[in-house]
Amino acid sequence: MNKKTAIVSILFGILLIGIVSASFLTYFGKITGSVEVKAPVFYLDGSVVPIPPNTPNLAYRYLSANEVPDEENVTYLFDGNRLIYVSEPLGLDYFYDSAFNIKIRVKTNEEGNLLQLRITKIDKNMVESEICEPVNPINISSWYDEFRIRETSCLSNGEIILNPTDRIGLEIRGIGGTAEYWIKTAYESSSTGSSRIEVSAI
Amino acid sequence: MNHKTLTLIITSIFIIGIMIVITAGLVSAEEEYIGVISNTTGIDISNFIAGSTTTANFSFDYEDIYDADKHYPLIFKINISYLEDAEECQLDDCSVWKNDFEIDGLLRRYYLFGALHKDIKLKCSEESPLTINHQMGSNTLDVPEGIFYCYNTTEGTIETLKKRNKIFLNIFSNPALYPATYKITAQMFYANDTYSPIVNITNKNDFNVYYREGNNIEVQATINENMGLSNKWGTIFTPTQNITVPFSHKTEGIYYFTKMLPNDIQEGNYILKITAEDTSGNIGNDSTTLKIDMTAPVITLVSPEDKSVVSEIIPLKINVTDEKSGTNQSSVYYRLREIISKQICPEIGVPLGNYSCARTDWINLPYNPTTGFYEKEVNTTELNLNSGEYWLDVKAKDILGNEGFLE
Repeated sequence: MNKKTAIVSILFGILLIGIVSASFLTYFGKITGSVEVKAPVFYLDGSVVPIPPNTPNLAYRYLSANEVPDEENVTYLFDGNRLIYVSEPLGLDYFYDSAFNIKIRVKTNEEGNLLQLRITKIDKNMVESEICEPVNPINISSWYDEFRIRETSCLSNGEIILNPTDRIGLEIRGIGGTAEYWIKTAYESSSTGSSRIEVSAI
Repeated sequence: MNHKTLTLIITSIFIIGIMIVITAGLVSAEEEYIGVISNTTGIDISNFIAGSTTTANFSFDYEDIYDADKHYPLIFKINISYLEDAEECQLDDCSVWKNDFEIDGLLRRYYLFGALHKDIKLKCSEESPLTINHQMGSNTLDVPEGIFYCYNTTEGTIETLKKRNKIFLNIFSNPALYPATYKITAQMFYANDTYSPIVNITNKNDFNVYYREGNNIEVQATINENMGLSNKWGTIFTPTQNITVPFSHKTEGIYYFTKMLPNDIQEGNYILKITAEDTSGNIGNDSTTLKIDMTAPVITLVSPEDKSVVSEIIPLKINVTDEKSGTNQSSVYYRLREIISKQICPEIGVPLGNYSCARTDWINLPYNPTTGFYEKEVNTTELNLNSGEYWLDVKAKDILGNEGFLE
């Protein structure tokens, strides 16, 4: 073995030790898994939200994050009034750019009645700010007098900036002559049959 | 490819390898991993909806082969990150931030082949910096986004983790977590021992006195250390040399260090330090001052005055002082030697030439505590001394044996 070969052999040996030592320190003692996180679903809950003092005299109902309400509930609404479902304060200062797919199990007293929906954020004083509003109202035509899921959607205009005390709200407003509406907020404890807002990232 | 080129390439790879080792060393400076030996089947975790809680569990199937102290606190590092290969995502949306998740958990220890179990609650935190105080010390960790540390510093030790034990985590995400697939990684390591041994020299009073060359010094110390000592020793720090005082033995909880002081040690006050190092390299010490006295007492004649003439009785009075170790009060002696023809009678033997001379032996000169002098009425008749001229010698020692003479 000549001198160059000996030097190369020694260097290679040290290199091998170096690589083995490095990998030992880096990877020993680690296990991994993966989990898929889905966007939240807000379920309409018929239970009444106590009205905070000095706030508009509106009917507030709960909007439950990720939990299907235990009991079915029907809430009555007639034209000229608004019904607002509100979540608990979210404790967030940010929500990603979102699509809100709104599915409501509702019936009305006349075919063709319209129902206007709006997604809002509501501050601690119950002051509302619009996040988005579907372009077209829900037209209740077929099976108007049966509780059926009616669906519409809207997109937020970019990231939603929040205060930690802010809530997410769904405003439901009838638009039509003497229309009456009945909204069922849970359906056989089904996550797919209950009135809800499905959020997805854009 | 010639040899020169080959050497160049391999040298480059070698340097990269060394850099990898150095990098790995830096990474591991705060986190020392212990073994995952078998059956690392991954983390069992259910998919879930943002804003709700999911559970995860995993087992390191820890094999008891690692030679670590059983009292080391276990710490589990949970890293949640966006799984980049799974789907497209805008980076800002998918990055895991503080408060995106909350985690709590427990370590379930099984007994009797799994029939019984005990749960040890784990505290999980993403606070940064995170200080974990435990019985072995205190570790402060930088906690980046997406990292949680779960631990129980009192019960969650290596000792509590056995084969088949499981870690259960409750993972809650806030509703605004970007919907995507996330990777969760669990690492197990133990906190480093950062507490230094506590050394306490118990016989410091022994060093209120002075020492000199040839003296044997003994230092007694207690050393409190949870993890075990790797070394203990003493050192005397002098300007010219550091003198080791080796450990001698341990009896009834006391560590003994002994050393015979070398002949070349110089007079002065030196730091004497006892040092203990634990198995993690933490060092503790305690010190005292070692005082070396090489100076003889100073002897001065008080009476009779030099060249004075006395009759039969000599009122001998001597002052002896020693500022450091002090005079040995029984070490003061005097002697009278006849002077003939300006020749002082020799200390030993007979005078040269054709004459004789008188001299006394060394006679102890007692200390008078009232006057503070060493004094005696010396009766020359009793000493069989004739009239004549005499030379007075006085010698004294300090308590270390440094001997001085009346000049």
